[in-house]
Amino acid sequence: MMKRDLRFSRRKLLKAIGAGVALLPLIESDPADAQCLAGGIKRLYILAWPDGMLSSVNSWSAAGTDPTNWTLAPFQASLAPYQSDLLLLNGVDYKFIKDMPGSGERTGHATYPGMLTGSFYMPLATTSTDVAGGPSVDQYVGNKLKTGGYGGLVSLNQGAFVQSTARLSWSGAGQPVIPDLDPYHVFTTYIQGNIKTPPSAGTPTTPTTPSQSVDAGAPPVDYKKASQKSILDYVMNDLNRFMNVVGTADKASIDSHLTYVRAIEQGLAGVTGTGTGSAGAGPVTMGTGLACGVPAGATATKIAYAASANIPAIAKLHMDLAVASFAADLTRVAVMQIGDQGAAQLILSWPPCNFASGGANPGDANTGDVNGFHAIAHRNVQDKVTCDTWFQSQVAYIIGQLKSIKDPSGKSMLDSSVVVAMNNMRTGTHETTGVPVVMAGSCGGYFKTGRSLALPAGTPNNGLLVALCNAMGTPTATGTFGEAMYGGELTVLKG
Amino acid sequence: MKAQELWRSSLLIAGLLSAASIAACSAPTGGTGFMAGSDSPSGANGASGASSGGSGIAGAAVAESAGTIVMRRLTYREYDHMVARLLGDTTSPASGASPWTPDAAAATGFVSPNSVSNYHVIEYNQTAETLVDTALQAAAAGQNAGKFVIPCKNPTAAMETSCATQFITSFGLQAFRRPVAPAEQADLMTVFSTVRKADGFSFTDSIGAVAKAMLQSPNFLYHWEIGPTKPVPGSDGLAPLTPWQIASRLAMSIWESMPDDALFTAAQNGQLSTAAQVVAQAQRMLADPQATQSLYSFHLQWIFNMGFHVTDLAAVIPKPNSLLTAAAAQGLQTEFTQFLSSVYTPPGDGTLNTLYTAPYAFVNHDLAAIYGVAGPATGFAKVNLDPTQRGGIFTQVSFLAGIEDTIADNPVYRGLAIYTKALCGTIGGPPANVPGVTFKPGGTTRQAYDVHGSSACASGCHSIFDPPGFAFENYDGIGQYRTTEASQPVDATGTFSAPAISGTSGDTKFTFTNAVDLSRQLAASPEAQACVDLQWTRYILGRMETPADMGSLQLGYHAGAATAGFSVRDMLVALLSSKAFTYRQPSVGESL
Repeated sequence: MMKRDLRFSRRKLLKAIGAGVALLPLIESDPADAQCLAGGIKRLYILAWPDGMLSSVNSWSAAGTDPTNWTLAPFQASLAPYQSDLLLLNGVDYKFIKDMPGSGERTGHATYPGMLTGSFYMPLATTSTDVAGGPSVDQYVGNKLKTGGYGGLVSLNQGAFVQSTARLSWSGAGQPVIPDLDPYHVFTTYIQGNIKTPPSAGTPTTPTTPSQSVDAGAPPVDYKKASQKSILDYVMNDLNRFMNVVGTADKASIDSHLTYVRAIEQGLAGVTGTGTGSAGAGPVTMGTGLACGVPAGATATKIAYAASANIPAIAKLHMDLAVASFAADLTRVAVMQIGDQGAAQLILSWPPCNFASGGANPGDANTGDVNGFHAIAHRNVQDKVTCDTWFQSQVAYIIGQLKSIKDPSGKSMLDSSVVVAMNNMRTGTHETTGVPVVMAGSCGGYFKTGRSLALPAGTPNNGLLVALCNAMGTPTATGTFGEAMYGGELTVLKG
Repeated sequence: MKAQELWRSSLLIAGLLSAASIAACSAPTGGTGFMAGSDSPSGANGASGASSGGSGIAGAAVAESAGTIVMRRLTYREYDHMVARLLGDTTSPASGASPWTPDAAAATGFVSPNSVSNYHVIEYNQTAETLVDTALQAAAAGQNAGKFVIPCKNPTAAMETSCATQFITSFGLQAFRRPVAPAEQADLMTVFSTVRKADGFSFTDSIGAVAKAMLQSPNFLYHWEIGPTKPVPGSDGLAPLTPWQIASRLAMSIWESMPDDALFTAAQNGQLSTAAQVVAQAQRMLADPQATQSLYSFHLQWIFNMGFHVTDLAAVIPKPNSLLTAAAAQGLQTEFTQFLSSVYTPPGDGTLNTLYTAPYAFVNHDLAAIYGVAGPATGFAKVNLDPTQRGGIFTQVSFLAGIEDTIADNPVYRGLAIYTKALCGTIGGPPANVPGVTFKPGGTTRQAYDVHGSSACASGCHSIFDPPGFAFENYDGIGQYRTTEASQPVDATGTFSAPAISGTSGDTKFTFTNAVDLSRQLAASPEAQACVDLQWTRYILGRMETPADMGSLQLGYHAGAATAGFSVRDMLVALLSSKAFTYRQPSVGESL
């Protein structure tokens, strides 16, 4: 086998997609990049979309405990290549939504603040402003990994066509983590120029030369620009001074602000893999033994990320960027949202869905466009199945990408990772019980895959969150997650 | 407000539309029915604070006082307006064509962000870089870069320090909206000298680095604006706001932006220390074209943010096979904005009566067709409307078509808007899993929705807010006037009681023949007048009212009521010069 550049090849970064869409950074992995990867790093990838994985006319895949004795439902056919990697759950209950105090909406649409936190939340005026009662599992795990010495991001939080302000991820009670909707921004902020080749004696790397650059566009944003350190030092001083004059409640906000600025600066300083690393923008440390990444000079052009029609491209870009970030060990946790908790204006205008905006809904009030995903979910019939099928293909895509990357031992990145695809309800009519989950990847042998489990009625989602913490090597002190009343780990996932 | 929540909670609406008696009918959220339901732990329940003690807005006089000041981050729109002024950059980086992931509205119903996320800090960092780099280029090319003016050209080495000091003083005043304190001045000079000497940047690029630092400072990004001196609380425990704070709060409230030169000068010269001085500035500012920014933002968030349903007037969906074409839908934001300007900008009289009853609208060609009048071939024009058919903001297409996204009209939305927005009433959440409304063949909208009255469960709430909704039965789902529906005459009559808020004379009973009649009665009612007082107070204070604000709420109310038709403009000016706005209670844990 010929010797090859250990980084992701530049030509793959830049491919034109679709008429009218500019050049985009399509970051693809290649099985031949195997030697770049450190083996055994555990990673958590969460993918969420709303309005039910099911409709009234499709059924979840049959239960079975061996890949040979159960069959995927037709709408999940795209997952077939990965059946032995799957762990399907049917399903979990969002018990918090019924049990928590206060008044407010109690349907699946309102579950976002609790899906990943398992906590009672504070219902405010609307479901788009409800405030979570504790950290979400992605933030918990990401922060724990950093405390344990990991130098990358806490998490990479992305979204495609998220219009509502309802949030899935929370760094703590009342502290939402806002997803980045713009793949270009994710690229320039977290990836471009941020990947360094580790000083590893005897591992030659191909230098990036200007002649390799075939892409047009703005010069890379240079966060190492010397002035940044002086600027950020000032900002931190100023935040400290500011914190001293405001009241107690406001000090907490300013303290968060200070933490985020510090993270940017620490990124600039190129902190190494031990101790505190960057939790924000800026270069981050690569994992041990990792030699691949994105070329430092790579650039990308912008995509209209606010357009519903671009969702497939946006989602793919975000997932590609997450996989690249995993591969380069820029992050070990990623959360991706497609649509928001209602997705009224999300119109699946691409094949095989091909829905066209039909204008306002004639009958079903307040569901947005008559051919929007929300209205389709309300009708909850065959059109919805078409949508369900497309969403499953997105799960299949991220699984496939992770599986295609191999570490030096020959194991795939999927083997050491876990993918969790969740929804805020069971079908389009808002059920918060029996909500199905697609998991994939054993997380380094922690989960027993190749199974489709029919969970007992009343299984709280908290048990799944505990299992994710344990699988990632970051158990909670209490052995519970969110509300303790919902108990500990859903051990059946381990087999 | 750009592209905020478009999500609609269908079930909540389905609940509100509840047409039949069902087993899932949930218990009221409060002890005394849905009306008592508080949706917020922070006191969002209507006029909870204001109505305490029986001396409400229009009640027995209470002495003025003040609550705490809210430290909050700039809204995206404020950020954009400020960087336009500071740096001449009109690209609206936060709320423009490539908007940041939206900030949520607070319990007040208005966007007033307190916390910050990693995402924002990264955006602030990157946007400061981009904005200042652009401004440096503009300045070098002799183009407008707002207040970003580099004081010296090619200064000698000996001159550089004084030039940098000059820049820090002048740009700092603008960016921090108050003079830069000595310690800050020293730190900013360190930024300059480090970047200039250690890093070898050019003089102008080093000045740019100072500007980048200021744009990431909490003194730019948060409303607080204390300094350069600390406030001294009086014997009543209240601290007067500094003139700089008052200037900033005025600019934020009236312009959704930062002070202009005249306001800074007034602050500098101590000319914001009496109520009369503040009144004069507020009146000047309300007459300025920049006032449109806040007027738009306030009214949009007030009227169209019903929690479960937030209309983005800039993105209303056209309705197929109707006159609500793409051009008509895209014109709604302009219709709304121009109407507000006509009401509040002199010679507009600024009264609630005009806002709620003026029989004219601003239309483009396609909107004119919906009103059934001749419109301009291009652009927008003011058109007079039949005063028996139209009167005020609730009978305009922007409200009637914008507030709902079904083709049929929806009395529930319209009624809720009147009840909860114009009258500040509160309604608890609906029960879960209720059926939708069924239209009978040949039946009218009202007949379909009237079924609410026969359901014990549904009537609990719907008897409260359906009647004001039925007042709008003369308008179909896109706001076209009609006198018949399904070959039957439209019945837009009704009666309902105003919610008991804010200690107004209370319990006004509205008995009306149609929406024009109801709008006229609303404008004249103490409840609707008190409500607009409350809403503006929440907007300008960035928090819910507390008992400490009652005296100032009364001041605003009486200032408005002194003019026939209730002058919202005078009310607002009074609020802006009131104690609740110009004084504050120190926050817990604050060092004074």
